[in-house]
Amino acid sequence: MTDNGAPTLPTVRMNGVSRWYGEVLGINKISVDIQPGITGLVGPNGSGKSTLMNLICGLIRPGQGHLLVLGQDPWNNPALHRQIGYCPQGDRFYENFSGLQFVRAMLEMHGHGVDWAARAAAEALARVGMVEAANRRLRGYSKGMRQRIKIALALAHQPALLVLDEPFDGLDPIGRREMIQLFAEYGQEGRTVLVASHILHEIEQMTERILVMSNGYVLAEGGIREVRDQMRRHPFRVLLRCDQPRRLAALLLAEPDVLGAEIEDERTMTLVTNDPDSFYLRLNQMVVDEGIDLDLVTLADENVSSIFKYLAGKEHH
Amino acid sequence: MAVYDLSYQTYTGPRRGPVHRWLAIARFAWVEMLSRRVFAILFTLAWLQFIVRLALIYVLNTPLLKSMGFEALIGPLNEAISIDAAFFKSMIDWQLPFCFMFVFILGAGAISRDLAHNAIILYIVKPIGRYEYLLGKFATLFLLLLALSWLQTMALYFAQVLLAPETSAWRTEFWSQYFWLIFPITLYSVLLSASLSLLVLAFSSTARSGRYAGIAFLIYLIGAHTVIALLAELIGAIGPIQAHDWFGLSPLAIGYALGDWLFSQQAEVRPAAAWFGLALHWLVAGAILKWRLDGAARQGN
Repeated sequence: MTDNGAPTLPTVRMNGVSRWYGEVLGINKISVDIQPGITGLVGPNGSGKSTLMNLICGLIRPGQGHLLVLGQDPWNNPALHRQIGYCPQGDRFYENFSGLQFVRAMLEMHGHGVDWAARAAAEALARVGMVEAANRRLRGYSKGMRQRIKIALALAHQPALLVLDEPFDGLDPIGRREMIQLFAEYGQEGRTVLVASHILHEIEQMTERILVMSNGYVLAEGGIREVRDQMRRHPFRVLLRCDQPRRLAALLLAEPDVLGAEIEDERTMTLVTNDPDSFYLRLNQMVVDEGIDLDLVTLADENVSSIFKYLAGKEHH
Repeated sequence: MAVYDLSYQTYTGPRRGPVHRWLAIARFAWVEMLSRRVFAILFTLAWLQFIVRLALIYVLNTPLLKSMGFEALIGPLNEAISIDAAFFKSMIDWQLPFCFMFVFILGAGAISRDLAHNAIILYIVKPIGRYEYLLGKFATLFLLLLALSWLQTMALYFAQVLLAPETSAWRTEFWSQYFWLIFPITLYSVLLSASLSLLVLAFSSTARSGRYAGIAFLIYLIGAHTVIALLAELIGAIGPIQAHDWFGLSPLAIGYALGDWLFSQQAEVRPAAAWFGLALHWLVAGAILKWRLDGAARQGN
């Protein structure tokens, strides 16, 4: 509400928005409002999450329907882009630049002066914990460091709307926790943060509000608990990459919610759990306590798809 | 209902204009280029011809050789090298191999790399439109090629103006004989730099690999010339079209023909055919770029 009691516009308003790529459906007749604070966008690959975010960022145009972002049409609207911070999935850009140079270059493309850009880039890198590696070249960065740089890039110009496409990909558990904390602070400040992820429990640590997408439709909108409860009854397959998979598997198999483990190779294993929330919490603690170097934690893709198909099936039923 | 502290502030300070924004694309592309040793070496080598010609201008216009005891060389040197229109045109022509190298190495991957890694969206989510993005990429190459052709040739021109002895034609007949050279030097450099930049960007936008785009561009340059040579041989003259006019469709022949025309030298291809060919190439390259950039938007790239 504004000071005079008039209702404020949501940050994003979609009314019957559809987008097709030729004969392939991107999203279909979506009508949602996204308010300030954090909103989680959840769905398997190909569910329409990226299409939705591309529409909001003005990268593509709706085929049908009306879309307003901060009260304006985002298509071909460079002035609006000053208010939007976007963290895309791809991460190969100016490979010979240092992280600091890269963020500064992108800020100068916003029209910021050299001094302001240098200062804001340094501040953004500090916020994502990249001060020590700021002057190293991008080509030498790990996946997690690249992810942090992209996040710095998205928030360096102090946007009102932050759109993050799988921002936790490649981050280790500590990095995930730090970024979750960072986004939560952004949401608390009254900015709008839209986070796409296929890991529900990470979204749950930031917000209660989610949009669940599948096959271009919004399956569920609102509280996260109901969706999570349904998913909890469905076993999860989690892919882990670490330096001691056998040892970690042995430790995890002792936990009651871990149903099975499979060693894929010398660094990779797949675990099956029926309670991802407690699994992830215990995993974080375990790797710290046991000194295990964990590179990757992700849900095995086909399993996520099957969960969402399961949800979609229930919805349609 | 959520309660927010609303403590955030978006930036409301001064911003620079759109030219600064898209020039930033070019500026950082050069910074990245020069950070690679191979580019830095190539860029340095691209100044060698300039240094040699500058030395020649100095030697021909000052008593250096005489003072060093090489008087016998002055006559043959003056006979062999004349600082005139052909001297400046050949300076630009001999810079073309370097221009091509930069076009292949830097230009071929300029857009294709962004398309392959979906990095184009990084630019477009900034206050930079698709066409400003393209301008930035164009400026990266165009200004670099201008530095290698126009800047160096104009520097030689002004060196000649400054060093020419009082009694030489460069001083006594400057306005009638040599002043006009500024215009062909500028136009020739601009036309070559703009055409090469535009064409290679069009090729770059059609591939997701800079290597393939570069090879395709090279094949086009050589292939088109070969095919047109055959065509000219087979078809010959038709009505008002002379046999050599067919070369107005070859990008290589267009450049040289326009250069000859601008520097008032004998050209085999008539200027009208060369201008027609140039306009056609620009139009097709522009259409390809528009189609590809709009296509990238349609596919959500």
